[in-house]
Amino acid sequence: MQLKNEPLTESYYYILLCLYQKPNHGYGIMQDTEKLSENTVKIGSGTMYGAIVNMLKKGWLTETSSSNLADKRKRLYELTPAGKMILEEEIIRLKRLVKGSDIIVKGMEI
Amino acid sequence: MKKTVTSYKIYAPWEYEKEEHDLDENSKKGIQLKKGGCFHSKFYIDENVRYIYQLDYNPKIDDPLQYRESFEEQGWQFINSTYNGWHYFRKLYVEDMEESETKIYTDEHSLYEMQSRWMKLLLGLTIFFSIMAIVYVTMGIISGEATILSEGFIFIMYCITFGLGMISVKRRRQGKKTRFVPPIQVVFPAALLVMIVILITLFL
Repeated sequence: MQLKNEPLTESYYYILLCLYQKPNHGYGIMQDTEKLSENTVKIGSGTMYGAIVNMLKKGWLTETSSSNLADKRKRLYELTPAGKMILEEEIIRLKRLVKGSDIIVKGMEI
Repeated sequence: MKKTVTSYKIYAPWEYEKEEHDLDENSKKGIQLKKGGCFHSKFYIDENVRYIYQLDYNPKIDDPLQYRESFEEQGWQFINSTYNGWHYFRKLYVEDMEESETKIYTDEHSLYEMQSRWMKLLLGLTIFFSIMAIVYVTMGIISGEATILSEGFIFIMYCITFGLGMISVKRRRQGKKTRFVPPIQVVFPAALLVMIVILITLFL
């Protein structure tokens, strides 16, 4: 039996989300995460480094360099097809959770 | 040249937060860390700045540049690494800093991962020391040699200290109060002293 993927931690989820449209560097991911989470999630350096190294090892991300000369020195990360799939599956799971919650909270029939 | 001061205060791995706290307090008084170490740390005096400190444990870093960059981009200055995988970082203190800005681990998952890295090593050492303790105590009893027995006693002390140290981390994770752990600041020098006495009696 194929084991179900574990739900992602908030940090992992936001990192993948911030890379969905285009590659980004660590600092950019941190800033976007703060905005998206309305300042409730801040990814510290140790957490960021650990998460990125883990996801590079899992093959969810790859490193890429910028074509922009001013940004050339910065290390950019890009989502791989596997990483994209993990994120999309997680979004579906989360939507299902919210849908189920709405049904219960609003007192609808299951 | 700034004058440096050496401190020989040691900390157990499970006391890393206390070390961070002590570094913060020293910095407030103008005593700044120059180089952190397991057995001694060097400080210099500068009363014009104040830093906050964080320790990371990561003995396996594939790309040191990538590692340092992820800290520097958030305002952390790398101080130094110890031979066994601890890394010291500092950040300029600003009044009304948000708590999340003062920590390098911002979620439970990654913090526990870091703690588990040194706990794994500690568990290995505890198992090794327990085997040594059994061997030495048995040998000591059979031979009646006081030196062998006292070596066995050192191993037992290490086992108790490391074991209780690890339990204290686990208890803290469960939100329970930590119980007594023999202070490494006493156990380590005492063990060293016993070893020296044994060596002297062997050669006399």
